[in-house]
Order: sequence, then C-alpha cells, then structure tokens
Amino acid sequence: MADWLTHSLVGWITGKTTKRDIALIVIGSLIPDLVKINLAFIWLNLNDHQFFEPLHTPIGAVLIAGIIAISFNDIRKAFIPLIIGISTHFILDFFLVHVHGGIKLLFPFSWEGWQYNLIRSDDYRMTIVAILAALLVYSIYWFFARQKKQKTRS
Amino acid sequence: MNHHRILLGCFLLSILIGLMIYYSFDHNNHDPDTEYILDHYEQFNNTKVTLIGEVKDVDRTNNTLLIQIGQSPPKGIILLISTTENLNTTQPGDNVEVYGVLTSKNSITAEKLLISERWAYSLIFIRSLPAIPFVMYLFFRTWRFNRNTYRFERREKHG
Repeated sequence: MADWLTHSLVGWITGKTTKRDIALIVIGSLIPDLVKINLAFIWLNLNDHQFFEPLHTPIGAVLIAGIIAISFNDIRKAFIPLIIGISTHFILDFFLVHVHGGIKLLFPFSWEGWQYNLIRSDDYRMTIVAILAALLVYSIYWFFARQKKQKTRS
Repeated sequence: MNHHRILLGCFLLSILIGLMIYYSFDHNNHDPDTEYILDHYEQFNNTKVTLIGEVKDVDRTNNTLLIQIGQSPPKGIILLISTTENLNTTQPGDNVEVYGVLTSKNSITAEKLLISERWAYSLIFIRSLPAIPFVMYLFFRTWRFNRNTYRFERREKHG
C-alpha cells in the first residue's frame, strides 16, 4: 500500500487538474484503503478471515462509492468524482512491489492479482514526489489566478 | 432520505457484504493466507507459497532468516532459507514478504524476498496520519451535512 498522504495528494492533483470536485476525488482515493479496518482485528489478536479484502478490489470500492453517493443530493455528480479517486488509488497501488500476486482487478470473476512491481511501498521518496507535485500544481494555479485578478483590476 | 435511496443503499450494501462473505469463505482455495498454509502445511508441501512475517533472527553465515509468521495470534516460527538475497542490512523486527517453496512446516526456500526495515514500515503509517486532517478539511470546506434531509449539501460559497 502507498501511504494515505500520497494517495490523497494524487487525488487532490487529479481533482485540481480535471476541475472536478476535489474533496470527493480525495475521498474516493482513500476508499480502497478502508480495507485497513483489518488492522484493528490484528491489534485485537482476532482473525478477520480476510473479510474486508474485497474493499481493496475495484468492485468493492465502487460499491462503497455508490453507498456514499446516496448521501448526496445529486448521486451521479457525487459518484463520478468518487470513481475517479478510486481509479487514482488503484493506478498508484498497481506500481507497488510485491513478491507475488497483486490487485485482484477482476474479483469476483477472477482471483488473479496484477502488479507492475516498480515502487516499494516503504519508499518515502514517493511521498516527497507527491508533495512536490502538489506544491507545483498549487503554485501554477495560484500564479494564474493572481494574473487573472490583476487583469480584471486593470 | 427517501425510500428509493434507502432501498438502493441496502441493495448495494447487501451485494458488498455478499462479496465479503464469499471472499472470506473461498480465499483459501485461491489465495491462501499464512495461517491456513501453516495449519494445512501437508497440502502445501513442496509448492510455492507467499508468507508474511517478522524477522526474529538473522544468520548471515548460512544466509537464513528466522521469521515469525502470523500476526494474530502468532502461529509459531518458521525457518526461512534464502540463497540469493543479501541480508547484510536485515535486522530483527524487519517485515518480510517471501515467495518460495515450502519444504517443511518450519522451512521455506525463498525465491523472492521483500524486506522492509522496521522504521521504514512504521513510517508508512506515520506518513498516513497527516492525510486525515487534510481530507477532513477539504471535505467539510466544500460540503456540510443537512440533518433534516440526511444528505450532504454543497456549502454556498462552493455552490
């Protein structure tokens, strides 16, 4: 797993550049990691029998997005950014190194896991890159917003 | 919240819970977990398996690792034999992901080994913490919960 900060920053950059609802994209980018509820079971020395694992599959995350979207006035308008966020999560996790297996993209139709094995999940440099990229995007938008403001004044 | 939304929510939730139950009951037939492998090791003997554990001891002379398998509750100790990986920086407490051939209940010949140093592994969780206030701020800056309609509404300045 990549850390939540990297996921949320990638979600923020995606939301900012696609001009979609940033908050919902960022929420979506963390939905698959609801699987981390299992840490509470590990901490309590209980076996969860991998009950929560489907949350870290596209189908499980999309179902969660659907459930969340119901609590918004316009279900469709909430659902789409949540799905975009979920996509950023899986794209990022797809590049993580594992010794075997990977993300079960086609669950429940297939149990096969896919992984590209490029970045180690404990590599903090990925977080630094995400922070720098977010700062760059923020600076670019801030610069153009300032220029626009100055033009309207003059 | 109207009845259609409640029905839709219940429908989606029931599919999700169904998938979770299916995964929970069937995963050992496709992607067995560590505890299942150790409980049924005869079934997996001389086959390739993936195990996750914590380093308890490092023997650099024989290039072997003693790792504790299973986090909840610990299922015992397994001797891990690695022939190719460099164990010079490996320390007790590090996290190990291993893919290899199970040669007995207590040994595995590693084909691939992924070792995360203890501090680096803990740092993943520490790095995750700032995301919580960041996400909360982003969300509640744009949305607020209406207790009358039981729905999230966009705040006026973000309308």
